[in-house]
Amino acid sequence: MTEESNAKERVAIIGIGQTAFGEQWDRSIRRITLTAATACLADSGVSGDDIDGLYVSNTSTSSFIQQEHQAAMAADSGGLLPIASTEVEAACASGGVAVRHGYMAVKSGEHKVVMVVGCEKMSDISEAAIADTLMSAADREWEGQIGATFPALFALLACRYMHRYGTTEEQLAAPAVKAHANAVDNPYAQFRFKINTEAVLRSPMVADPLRVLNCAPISDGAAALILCRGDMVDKFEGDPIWIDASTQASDTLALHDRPHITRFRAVTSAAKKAYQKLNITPKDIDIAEIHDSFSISEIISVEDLGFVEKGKGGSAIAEGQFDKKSQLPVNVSGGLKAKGHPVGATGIAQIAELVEQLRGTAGKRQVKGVKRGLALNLGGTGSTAVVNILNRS
Amino acid sequence: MSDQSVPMLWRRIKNVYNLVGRLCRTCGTKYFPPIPLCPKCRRKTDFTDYQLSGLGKIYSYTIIHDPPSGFKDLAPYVLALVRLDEGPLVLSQIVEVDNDQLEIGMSVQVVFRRIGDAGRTGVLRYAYKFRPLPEYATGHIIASVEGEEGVMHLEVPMKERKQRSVRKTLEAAGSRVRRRLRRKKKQEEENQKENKASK
Repeated sequence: MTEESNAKERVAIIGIGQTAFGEQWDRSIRRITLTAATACLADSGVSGDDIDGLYVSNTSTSSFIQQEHQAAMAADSGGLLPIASTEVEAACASGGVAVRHGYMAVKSGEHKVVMVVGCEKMSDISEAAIADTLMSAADREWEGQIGATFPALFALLACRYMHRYGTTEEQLAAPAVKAHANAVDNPYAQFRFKINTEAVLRSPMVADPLRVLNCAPISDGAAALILCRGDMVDKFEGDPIWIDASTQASDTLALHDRPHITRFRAVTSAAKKAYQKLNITPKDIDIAEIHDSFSISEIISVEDLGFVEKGKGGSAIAEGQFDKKSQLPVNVSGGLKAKGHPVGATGIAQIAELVEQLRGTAGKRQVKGVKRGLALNLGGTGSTAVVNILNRS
Repeated sequence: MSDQSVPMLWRRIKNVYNLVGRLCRTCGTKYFPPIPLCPKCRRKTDFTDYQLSGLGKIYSYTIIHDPPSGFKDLAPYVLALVRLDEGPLVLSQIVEVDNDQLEIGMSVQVVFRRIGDAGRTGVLRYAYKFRPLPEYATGHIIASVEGEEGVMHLEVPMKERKQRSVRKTLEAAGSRVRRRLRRKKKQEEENQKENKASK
């Protein structure tokens, strides 16, 4: 295969843009989506006319703001009519799955330049209504109607996991402590302050053993990417970062239908596919953004991605094995916990962070010498897992 | 979230009132909740209803301090995954329990309870919850025994349990009921014979 045809089959990210995450009372979903998209266009040097496909990821605007059809809304408010615009929903994994669909659209040759934008406006309704909406990501009929909340389902994972592997509450607090420490240097982050283990253990109980500070917050925000066919990168200004693999897997919607709940089968399956595709091992990953909506999900995920032995996730994180200065920094952005978790935007923001890190433009939070990054985005209680592996060259 | 319409509740009544699951006759796997397709057999799925005993052990649990709407009055309440003796895991609230005594492996039995409040639709919902067994239980052991005669629901006063294990108590109770049923059947047959003879 010649180098040119090889490039044609690759997909590059040539632009990123995001809003700050947090409670943005003064801004509508139209406004935050447009802010991220505009920043993304400016970053890439692409004009609206160059884009021939739009993917919009969103989790639950019907409940959060009683508005569906975000795809048309984004195309409309972005002045991109009559562009083909598609909405992607996979609960909290919507963003990662949308990136995968944008990747496939470009890789197939059907589209040349695609924008993938994720947005969520959560703060317009009451906290109780938000909690009910988030429960839609799991099984409403056989979990929600029984009295389960979304944190409670992760608490069930945590309880069983701690029983099996002897993980302590201090270790369970470690992902949150690390996330807050990292978020200090991230201008987009919702919580730019440090917390310590005692603060986590003192915070109010949500669902035993998960406390408030073990859980990602409620956030508004948007993030966007421009993907383009590999042979066209020279036409635009943006420094290209390549998507080497984009894989996805599913697991049962409800926890009770799984043979075991101390691992995420979908994560293992998606990661395995990605590693095999590139003929690499977990050791070849230099940096990762991992879905830490609850502390326990990061602990289980680092194991299921193959970064650490099964059952050692909690102690490894507590011992600093995934700190910013370690061999494999995880969630340098602050993760969902401290950067914020505007559900539909999360998966795209994870990729935007990796692009900054691989480009070397992450400012104070830059990790030196990273070449290959992995993003893991989870939907529901691990019912959807999507893995994207990015490469500097 | 308790905003369920009547049809949403009504179509699940059989399953949630009596813990009726499904048995795939092709592979022998038992399921609860009653999923529409056996994932192991797919198009070869051959489902029949299956009455679960309602006995099991806590597999994992949590205490919910921040309840969803429709469950505010209950908080804090216990939610658990229960491993039923027949195999399936079921998600349920645990009631009549001292939270300090909660532990993985605790034996529990099914009970029939109201779930949450009436919510905006005003519909009251009833379904399964579980309660501890046997050391902590205060009432009767309720269980289902499957025999040739079909499924029987048993209630055994706790005082009858004495020193025997729950399983043995239920087995004893089960054989008592079966004996009673056999006697009844025999008597009916004899009655029929007598009737015929008298005609």
